[in-house]
Amino acid sequence: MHPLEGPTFQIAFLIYLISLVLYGVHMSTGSRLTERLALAALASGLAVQTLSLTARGVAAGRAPFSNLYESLAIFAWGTAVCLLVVQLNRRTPAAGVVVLPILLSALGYASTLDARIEPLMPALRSPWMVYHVAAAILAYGAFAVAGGLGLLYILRHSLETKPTPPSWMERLPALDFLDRLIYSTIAFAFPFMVLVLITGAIWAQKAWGTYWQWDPKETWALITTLFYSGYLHARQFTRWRGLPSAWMAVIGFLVVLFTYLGVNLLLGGLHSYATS
Amino acid sequence: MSVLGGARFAVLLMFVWAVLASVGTVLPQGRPPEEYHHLLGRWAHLVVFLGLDDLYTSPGFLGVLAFLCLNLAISSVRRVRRLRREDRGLKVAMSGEDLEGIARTLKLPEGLREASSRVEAALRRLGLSVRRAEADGAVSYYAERGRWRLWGSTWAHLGLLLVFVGALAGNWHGWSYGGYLKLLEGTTQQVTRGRPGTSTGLSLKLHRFVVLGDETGRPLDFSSDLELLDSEGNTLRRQTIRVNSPLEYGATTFYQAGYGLAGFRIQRTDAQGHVRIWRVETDAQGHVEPWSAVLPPQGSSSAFGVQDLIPQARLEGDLVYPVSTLPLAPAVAVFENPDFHRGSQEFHPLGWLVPGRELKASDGSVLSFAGMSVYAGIQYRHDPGYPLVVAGFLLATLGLGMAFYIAHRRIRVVLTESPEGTLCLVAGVPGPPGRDPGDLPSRLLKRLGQDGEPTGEDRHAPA
Repeated sequence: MHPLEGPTFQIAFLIYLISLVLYGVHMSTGSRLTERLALAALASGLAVQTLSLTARGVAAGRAPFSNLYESLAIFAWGTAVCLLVVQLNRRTPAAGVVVLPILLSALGYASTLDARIEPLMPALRSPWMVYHVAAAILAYGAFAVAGGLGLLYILRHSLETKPTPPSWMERLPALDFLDRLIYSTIAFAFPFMVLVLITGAIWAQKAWGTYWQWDPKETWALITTLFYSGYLHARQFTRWRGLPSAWMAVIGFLVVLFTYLGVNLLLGGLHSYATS
Repeated sequence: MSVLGGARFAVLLMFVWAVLASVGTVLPQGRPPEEYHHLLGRWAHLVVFLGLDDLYTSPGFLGVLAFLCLNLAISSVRRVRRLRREDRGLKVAMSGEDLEGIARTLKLPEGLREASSRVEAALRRLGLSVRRAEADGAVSYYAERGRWRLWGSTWAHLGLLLVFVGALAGNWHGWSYGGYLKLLEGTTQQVTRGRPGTSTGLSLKLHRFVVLGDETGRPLDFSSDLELLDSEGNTLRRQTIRVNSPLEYGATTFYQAGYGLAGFRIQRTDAQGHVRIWRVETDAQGHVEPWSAVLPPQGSSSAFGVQDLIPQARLEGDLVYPVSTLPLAPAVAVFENPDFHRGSQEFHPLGWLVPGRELKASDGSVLSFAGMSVYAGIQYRHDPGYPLVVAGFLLATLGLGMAFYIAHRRIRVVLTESPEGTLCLVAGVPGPPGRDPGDLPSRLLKRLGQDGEPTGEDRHAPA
């Protein structure tokens, strides 16, 4: 392990945690300063975690994508990137409050796992692994953000129906804004999810001579893709908006979580190396 | 047709297909019926009846896929037709009244001809493709960029169709074939198709096979130096293949699939010092059929038989553990029959023979390992659908990129003569409902605005 990796991993975790607290303070006080500090902390956490991942990549001599520890760390990184992009483009501080806990849970879980750098098994020694995992990082990260935004929509929707909504509700984004943001986040992620399937199929063809084996992981990746494809088609052609769309984003992220972690832990298969 | 190619039908099919696919990940697939009876009791009949025991090749599952393909094909054709119809029917010429109240207005000081040249140049500088029409003394422009976006979903759908067609071609009986060769260094085998194997005119020679492991013995890399030959022995290709790096020749691909023990030699040294080598071959699965290998006695000495083989093993005391680490070190369960020459069929266990260990028999002879041969497992597959699948993947990727990452922006401009010069009406055209028409009107006005002020509302023009 590179000497920089461990400390930077912990520092990044701490900075993300500070960012979460600051976003929480902003939500309760409405302070513009705390929102800016939270955004700065998020960007700093991302920079430090990038350093941590780079250090690991240098020490391993390859992209740090091979086991569950590395996968969780890179998933958290991808989620942070997507969250930062959303914050910079659409200024949605409330998203920080719901997405950062997902990111911190991933890093927290990673910290309980064996972080030793292991050499890659022959099947994983392929440039296709980099494309495959990179596409998955962006897709899963954006789906995590979309799921968080879906939660915000449901929260705001339920608060609006109350006779006396709390004052902090006004700091949640408007429903229409959230609805469009959920859609554009999923629309951004979807092509990457399809790329996960395509690169995985090409890789499998190169390694094993078959594109598809109905392995549980690839089957669930297909199910995830079909789910979001259904969402996009329903939205495009049936004008499906609002609460059902938000619920789809939340359920979609649960499907992603099952594909990402549940399959490895419960069903095994060709991707079972990613449980170690 | 409209139902079969409709988006609602597509969503329904995707939902059903996803649910069925998920069942296959929970329910064990391709097991014997008894196992389902043990697992599910009386529900096992229903599972087998519905084909859920072999779900991914069941008629129901493939039927949904067929409908999905049909849906993709119909919706693509309809969309292409619609886009072409819209393109042909696009009305470029508009009058000032058409945009009145929905456009931003700008007064340009120059005459109509000069003003139209300036507007057209400004539109082109914004990276737009421009269509121009003149009618009733007005000059109209319809300008757009990112029109590729409209074709994105069609390309993606056609790409998926191509993938399915390629996969079908690659699995069509008679078009595709495959097999597995176990090659020893220096040997050549024919590449055959079907059963019994008919020659494809190709043969494969293994020059060298190398397995590399790390310090713990975990395999890191294994590679085969292969030569592909035609029916006359001419070299077609020579390449070192490894996992993820196959040898490709036309539609036939040769993969490094594995390696294993092809056979081993046991040396028997009798009490007088006479040496005899006993060769044992493994079967297609890399095992030794119990008692298929028997070393008959010479005179009144013992006979020996092999009952079991562990291709990679570690010996601890008298216990043998199978391992997956290198180096390849087999363990062979050797049995002895001292009364074979008297007609006895009773073999007694003598022990596990591993490299570096000797077994002493009751007749005074000593058994030891005298070497082994390792085969390179080469899987081959002739897949005529491969180019279609790759083309489909490319088309789908491009289509998705176009559909989701290209912004389609449109703008209409109408110029009419006015007493002070030229009146310029500018309006953005929205995309699908809820999609932002973009800031093209503002940017155009900014480019032209040095000669006038926008005075109208920025609303949307008809497409």
